[in-house]
Amino acid sequence: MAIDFSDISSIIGGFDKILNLSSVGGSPPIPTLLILVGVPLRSGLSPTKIASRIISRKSEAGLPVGALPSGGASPDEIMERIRIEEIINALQQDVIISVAIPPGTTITAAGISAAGPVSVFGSTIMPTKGYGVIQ
Amino acid sequence: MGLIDDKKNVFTTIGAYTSLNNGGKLPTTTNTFTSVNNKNEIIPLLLDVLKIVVGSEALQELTGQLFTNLVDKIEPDLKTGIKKQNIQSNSGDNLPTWFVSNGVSVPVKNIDVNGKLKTNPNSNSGSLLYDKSTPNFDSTAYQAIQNSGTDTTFGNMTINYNSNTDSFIYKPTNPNQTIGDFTNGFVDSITVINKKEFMSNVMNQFYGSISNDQNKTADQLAQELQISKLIEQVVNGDNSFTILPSDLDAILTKANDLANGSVNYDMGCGIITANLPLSGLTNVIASISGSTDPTFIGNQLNNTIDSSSNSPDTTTENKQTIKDGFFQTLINLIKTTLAQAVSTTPQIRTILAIVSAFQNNGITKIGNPIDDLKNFSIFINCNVNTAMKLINEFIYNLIITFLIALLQPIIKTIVKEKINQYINILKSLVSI
Repeated sequence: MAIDFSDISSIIGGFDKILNLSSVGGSPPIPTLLILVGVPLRSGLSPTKIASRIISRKSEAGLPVGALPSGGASPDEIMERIRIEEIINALQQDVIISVAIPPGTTITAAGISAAGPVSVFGSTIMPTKGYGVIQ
Repeated sequence: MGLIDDKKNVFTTIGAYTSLNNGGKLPTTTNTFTSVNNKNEIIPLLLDVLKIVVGSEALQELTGQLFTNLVDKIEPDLKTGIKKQNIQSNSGDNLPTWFVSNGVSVPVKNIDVNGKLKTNPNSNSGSLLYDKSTPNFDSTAYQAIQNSGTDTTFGNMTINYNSNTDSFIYKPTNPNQTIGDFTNGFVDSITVINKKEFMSNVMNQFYGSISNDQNKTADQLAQELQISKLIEQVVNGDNSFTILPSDLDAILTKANDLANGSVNYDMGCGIITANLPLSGLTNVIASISGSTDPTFIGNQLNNTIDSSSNSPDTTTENKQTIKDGFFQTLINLIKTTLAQAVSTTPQIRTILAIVSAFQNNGITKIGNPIDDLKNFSIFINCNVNTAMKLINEFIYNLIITFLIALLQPIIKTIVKEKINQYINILKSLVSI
């Protein structure tokens, strides 16, 4: 929409539109068959793996990795593990995943009628909803 | 999890919520950008955005840009806006007989708000106030005053000065045209923004060099500043046409300063006294008025603040603050001068007088300039808004140019990030 240069809200809206970069970086869809085949092969989320990766990259930020000079465990690294565990726990136990499936999914169905067995070929005509969990 | 852990969890969770409740409130922040506190003022917001995107040195570049790329290009749009305001229900009617035979008579004091027509174009001040290189309304009106009783032609009308009544009498040169054709023809013949005059007016409002040379009194200058203030309020969306007592005090102080040719400004790090003699201003205008290079103009103006200000503080940081304040003040003056160019100059007052006479059987409705701001508030508001839209759009587009340059590397990073994410997802799905 064109900017009204006599209206401060319209001008701020113009800046917002540019600054939110919403049109940048849209990803192409992942092929459905690849998801069906590939997802069951994944290992799932592991707080330990994530925390260890983060801790191993601390040196990139100029921070020491490993035990304190006293020999004790670094509270920062313990905290990192706790933080990741809590985030993953929340994702796995509290997240609600809603999946909206648009109409147009091709279906092939078999049934029976008074005249005998029937086969139906077609597509869904209503959007449908599904749920999921993060593992 | 065992019972001990369950119990510990109860206490630590309550402790976490208590901690969040007590310490989670964000401190109240103060705004270092003053525009955040201004409700509807657009230009201060744009200037603050420009400063955060490019840095305060951009104010100097912007000032140069406004004096070149804005001033050189907005004339057609300003004229279109003025024409729109003059379209009346009687625009299709033929010019009235009284106008053709007797003309419209208007006291000079009602036309010449700032007393410009009292100044000889060949004088030192006049050489800055009038651009003698091209025919223009003000020069013609001055000639009419010098040749009292004689018709002087400008565009599609004659100007005749009556010294007994100290009035101008305007008549059409072509009696066989419609009111609309006459008013549009007049607007076509004027120059709304003359670059040299515009620059001189802006610089004079800062330094008072011309006003001082004209020997204007503090009272005269206070009246001019009141008009400026009221127009500035219109620019900022305040249509009350009332000046607050505190603003009035500031106006009187500045009027005295201008009359003395030495003006005090708060540039953000204390008060500085600015003084530029007419010869200095003449040199600056001579060097910049013919230029189309914004950087050159910005540099020339930058040099004036060094030579004209008396600041006891010479630290680099404070010098930069003074320069930022100088250019910010100049940009505000450009804004106000632009608004005045479409609302109170002699040529605009003339068209207002004639159009109001067309609506009132030959009797003009203009009078005291301050009262007229209120009486013709729709005309003033619409013309000023047109001018302000143009300057706002200009600054906005400049900011967007800088903003895109700033965001380009970030956009590239995000795109690269997304591509890598996609590739990694695909790899994870095929277990590579």
